[in-house]
Amino acid sequence: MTGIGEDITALIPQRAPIIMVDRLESVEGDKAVTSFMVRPDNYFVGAEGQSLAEAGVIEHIAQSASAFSGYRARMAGAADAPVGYIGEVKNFHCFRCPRVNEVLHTTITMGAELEGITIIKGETSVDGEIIADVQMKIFVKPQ
Amino acid sequence: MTREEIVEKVNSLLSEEFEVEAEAFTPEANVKETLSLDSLSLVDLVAIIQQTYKIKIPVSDLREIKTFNNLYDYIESHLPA
Amino acid sequence: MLLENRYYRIIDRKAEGQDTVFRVALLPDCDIYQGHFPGNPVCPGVCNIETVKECVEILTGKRLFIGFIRQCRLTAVASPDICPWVNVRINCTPAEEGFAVTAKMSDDERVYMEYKGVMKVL
Repeated sequence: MTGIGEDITALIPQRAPIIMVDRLESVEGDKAVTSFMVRPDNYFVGAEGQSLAEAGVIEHIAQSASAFSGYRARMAGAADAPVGYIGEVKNFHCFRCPRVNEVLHTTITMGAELEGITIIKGETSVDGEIIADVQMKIFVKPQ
Repeated sequence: MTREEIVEKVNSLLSEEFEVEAEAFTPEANVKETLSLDSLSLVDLVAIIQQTYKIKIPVSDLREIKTFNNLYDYIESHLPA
Repeated sequence: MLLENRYYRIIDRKAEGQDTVFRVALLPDCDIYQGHFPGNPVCPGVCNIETVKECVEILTGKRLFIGFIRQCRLTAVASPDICPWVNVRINCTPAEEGFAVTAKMSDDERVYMEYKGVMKVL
């Protein structure tokens, strides 16, 4: 299916230096899975170059949701990925920060939507170990 | 499901989610004002009703729901068979 | 610090009752705006979260870890054009394993962020 595994910049509006998701791996109903490798030059990796800051984990989950809604928008014929903003972060737990060279896998579940604001749940793991979960509201500007 | 059960369930859910005392939920009180809802938190109300009663409230209907009574009526009349 | 003097700069800091208010300049030349978003500079909400964390690190003199965010509402779009400087009001009380933190980022016009969470000491 087009969109999945495609060049991520077709699915999200963010560009370097703050692209925080590599691939949309799969989509099934209201769930999607993305992947992302933490590289040493990542914007949210500190000077000591060891791990990705918590803010980076949140941005990765938000951009994973953005990739999912970008995919859905393209499936509905949109030309480019919609610009979305984080409206709310709720019940974010970070159990540990992912280290450089680790690969994150994030499951996004799309929830209720009302007037451009969509509730999403995100859960991120590294090799099956859950490192963060959160509920977020993403506000997508109507195009 | 009786109306009393709906009223009790909805009041406890909203009280917990929006951290407002259920005593404030008098039938004719305005829902948005009582729960101090804004565009960000309004979607939580829709989500709770959808999760609990499997009822999707479209925006057009939502605008008609002003008081708690309106909300209970809407749920009662839209309960899946 | 990840973002200090790259994304923001602290201009002033004063105690107000139980709170501490940092006056923070948002740096328009920060490279993040090249990608967020091209031709449409918007503060990433997560950078404002990181800014609050770093202010609390300065306030407490400790390296911290955002273990839990109860709620962070990002109530208005911010950018160096919209708000070249903002007030970051922080209330920070000792809590199990670290600090209970509430923060509000605002200027004279509007509130940009309200934050409630727990930061653990590393």
